[in-house]
Amino acid sequence: MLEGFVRRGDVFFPAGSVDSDDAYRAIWNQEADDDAVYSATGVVSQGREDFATLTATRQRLWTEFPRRHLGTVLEIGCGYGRVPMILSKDRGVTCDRYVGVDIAAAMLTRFARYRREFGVFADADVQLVCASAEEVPLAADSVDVAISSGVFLHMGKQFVHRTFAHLAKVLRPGGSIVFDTSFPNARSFGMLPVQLYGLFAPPKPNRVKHWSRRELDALMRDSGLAAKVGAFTIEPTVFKVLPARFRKRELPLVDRLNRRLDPPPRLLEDLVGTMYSIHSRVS
Amino acid sequence: MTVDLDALYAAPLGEFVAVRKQLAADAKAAGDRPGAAAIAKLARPTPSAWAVNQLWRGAANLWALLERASRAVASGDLSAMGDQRAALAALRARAIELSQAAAQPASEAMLARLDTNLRALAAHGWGAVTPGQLVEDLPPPGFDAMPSFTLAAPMPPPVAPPPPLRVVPPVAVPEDRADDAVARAAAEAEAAAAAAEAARQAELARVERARRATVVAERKALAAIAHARVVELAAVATLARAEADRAELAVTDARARAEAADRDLHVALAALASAPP
Repeated sequence: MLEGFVRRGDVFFPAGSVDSDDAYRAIWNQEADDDAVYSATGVVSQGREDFATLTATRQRLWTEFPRRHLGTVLEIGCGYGRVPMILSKDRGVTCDRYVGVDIAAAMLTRFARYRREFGVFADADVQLVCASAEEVPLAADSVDVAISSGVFLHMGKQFVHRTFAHLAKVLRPGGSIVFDTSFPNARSFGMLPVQLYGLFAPPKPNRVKHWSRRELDALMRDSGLAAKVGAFTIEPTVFKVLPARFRKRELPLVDRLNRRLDPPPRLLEDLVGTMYSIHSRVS
Repeated sequence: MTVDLDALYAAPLGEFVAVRKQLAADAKAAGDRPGAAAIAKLARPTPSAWAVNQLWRGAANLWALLERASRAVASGDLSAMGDQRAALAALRARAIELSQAAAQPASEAMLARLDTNLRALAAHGWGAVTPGQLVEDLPPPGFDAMPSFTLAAPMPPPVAPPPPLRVVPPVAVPEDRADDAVARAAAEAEAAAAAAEAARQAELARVERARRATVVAERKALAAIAHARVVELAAVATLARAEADRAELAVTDARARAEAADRDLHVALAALASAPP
């Protein structure tokens, strides 16, 4: 049971009132209603809810995730459960307890339905919590593995700092983190058009924020997370010389050029990698 | 008779059929008819599977790097993913060289399948397939908990030829031409499937664009209606204010007239009082 939270249906909510007018929350609820799969994967689902569609995007960190039995897993921004589906059903990963946190109740409701349908983490104690990560009252040192996929990039930097500090508190010493494609690279050549567009476009609460490797290193150390996990890796990924699409329009020849440089030579990784993942050893 | 199939899978892809024929003939000449039949039925590798086989022979050091990195990842050391990626990049570059040396085109599609094959082999190993003798492309890694997952199709056992379907005797086709025809048909089918998939994706994208445009148009229409409603309410309020102003003016006017009448009445009463009886 989560202190200060009440269960409504399959989802835990803060016992107090939830700010349903919050613009950031409203965006994700709207995306869940429009097309949750498109929101999570960029693939238009046209209402399909089969396993392949729901897990249409499979990053290597998940498809090659070590097959393990994990203790308590905390996922930040779990959405409708794409990553747990891949880990549980494709990789055979199991756990004792899974806590999925998301700000959008509509996503969590879908997660609960898909979990029943596909048997995701069937033997685990699964808790789906509609809140910001730092609001979830988990005991200090109680989480074994914290995971997240494509979530921190949308959050304001001060919220990311707050979340990391919370993770540093609840993660056990020697625990693991896997934050996949979470931080757009501020120094990436391929991200320049997106950054320029962001400077002039009308403000939007979930517009992606860009991070440099140095900023991420400081984030890990200042939050105390580095001290908790020990060695960690900031890994450039999603290699693109230029974005293949700009505002949903295909740019000619760019896709071909990008594929030629995926993966790039090691020396170019920090320039061509559009995203950073952060991870530590999964023990 | 023991046949060394290594020569077969090491040969350039264009020479596969000829080498297979030669090996089968050698086996037959040595009196090994079942062996010869089995060799004759060995499938020609796909271009990407052929490239994997060439890498296995010609880039052992890079292969070792890939295997080492993949073992580390599987053991939980995710930091080895960078080494794994670098090994994959180097193997891919080497595959392009080997393909060019063998006059075998290395298309983007072939290289994508090669990547998938390499990642699958790195994750699962060769399994039932003899190393360096891959024939079919492998499914991407990440599906290993699926019950239907098989690493690769083993060599099929010899089967009896199907009964002829027509009375007219078929025109004899040389085996290599037949093989080329099968390859062409497979390539055409693959191209058709790719085109169909591209068309499906384009159609999906078009439908999604239309849907989003409809949503946007709907939202704009709703906004316009709301705006019109606001304008209407503002006009009503203005009218009401004007009406109120007019009413107020009428009241003021009536009050003024009443006061004037009152004043006239007082004047009249005063005049009446001061008038002589």
